[in-house]
Amino acid sequence: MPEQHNLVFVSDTDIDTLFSCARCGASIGFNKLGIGEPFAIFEAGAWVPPTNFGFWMGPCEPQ
Amino acid sequence: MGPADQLWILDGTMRTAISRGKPTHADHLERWLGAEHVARLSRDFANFYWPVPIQGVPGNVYIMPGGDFAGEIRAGAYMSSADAAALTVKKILKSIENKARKNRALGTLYDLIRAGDRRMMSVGAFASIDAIIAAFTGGKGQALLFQKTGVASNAIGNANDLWSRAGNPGSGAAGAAAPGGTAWSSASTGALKYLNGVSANSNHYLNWALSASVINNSLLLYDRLFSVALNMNSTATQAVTGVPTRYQSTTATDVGYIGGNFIFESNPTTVLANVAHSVTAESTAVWTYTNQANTASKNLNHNGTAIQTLAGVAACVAGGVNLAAGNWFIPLAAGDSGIKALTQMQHSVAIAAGTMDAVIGHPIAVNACPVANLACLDDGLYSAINLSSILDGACLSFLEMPKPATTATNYSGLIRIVSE
Repeated sequence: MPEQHNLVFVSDTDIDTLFSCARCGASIGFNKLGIGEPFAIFEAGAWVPPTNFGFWMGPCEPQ
Repeated sequence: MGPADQLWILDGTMRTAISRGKPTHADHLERWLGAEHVARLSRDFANFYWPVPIQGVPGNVYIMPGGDFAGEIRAGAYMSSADAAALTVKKILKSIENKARKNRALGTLYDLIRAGDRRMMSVGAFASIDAIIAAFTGGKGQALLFQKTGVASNAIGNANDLWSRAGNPGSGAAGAAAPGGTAWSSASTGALKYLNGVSANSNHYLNWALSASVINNSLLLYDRLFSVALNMNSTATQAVTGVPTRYQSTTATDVGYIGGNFIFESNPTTVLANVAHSVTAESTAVWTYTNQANTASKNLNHNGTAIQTLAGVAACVAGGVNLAAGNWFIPLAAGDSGIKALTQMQHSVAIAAGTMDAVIGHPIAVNACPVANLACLDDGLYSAINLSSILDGACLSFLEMPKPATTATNYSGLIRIVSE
């Protein structure tokens, strides 16, 4: 069964955040809250991806 | 025996008298049936014992025992039966011809009767395979060569738009910014060049030999009607006022009917920033359009209850179709069959870098290559897409269907079209 990505925060700008999968290396950005959807969430002092991030990404396929 | 003008028939028990009646005009009868035919009849019935009516002779003519003819003939004064039949058919054809241009069914009947005559009634269809052969070999056929260099897709299942890719025809440009956009035509750079048909909108797709450098890819030949550039760095609604110039009829039987027109997004020049986004979504990514019945303010990807979410492609490559894997067009509202014009665009996310066009097209034909570097023939004559019309001034281009592998694929081939 295809696995979901294991996204880790990389960096952010004024409007968006960048995450990278620790398993396959794929990266993806999510806007910050208020800029648009889907948006990253600032939780417990850190940015986390939206809970449904898998909708915008293909399956995790480690190289 | 009775009088000389009567013939007595002895049937064993009683005598029956048959009156000869008025003798048939010999010249008229010979002109109608032919002299040899009349002589043969007379000879065959010389010894027969009963009058026999002659069929096919207007009037009331009998061949009598003894071989004479009796009764009035109401024809043969000026022409034979063959001449009269020919005149009758001619009158019928003339009557049909006068009405045929207003009535497609009669036009087809006319062409069937006149099969082989190259002066076909242009009622929107070929009457026969022979007519197509005659048209193609008689100077109404065209062979269009092409070659396009593809691009690697973002992921398996993503589609690509070859409009802006190099090759022959060369790269097409991005659409103009909203609200105007660009209505494309055969004169546009990037369009596959061809000549308009003998009469208005009379070209038809005939067949297509396609070779692809990578196995299992499929290509859609489409008429690129219109495109408009999206401002990707905005989540505001963006109005569109420009409209296509082809396939705008609301009449289902018209060759330019709106039905079948589809819409998609493609990246013409610059890769998008790697940011997830929705192309359509309830409240945040709302597109409006006018449908095939000229009803305005319809929402793309509306299932009858709400607008459904359709994801775009983060970091969509230049040449890529910006729709989630498996999608090459944005669904219309439930129940609609075509998009007449786009009136509003909106994305859910502001993306700082990258370009994007919203494109309206009309499908012509699909060809698949199950073997790499082998010319695969799609027949447009007998197959499901049968002699699809190609309108005058069409901007013919190619869309790479959702790819089975991300590998960049090069295409080349030959498309044949024929005019009525």
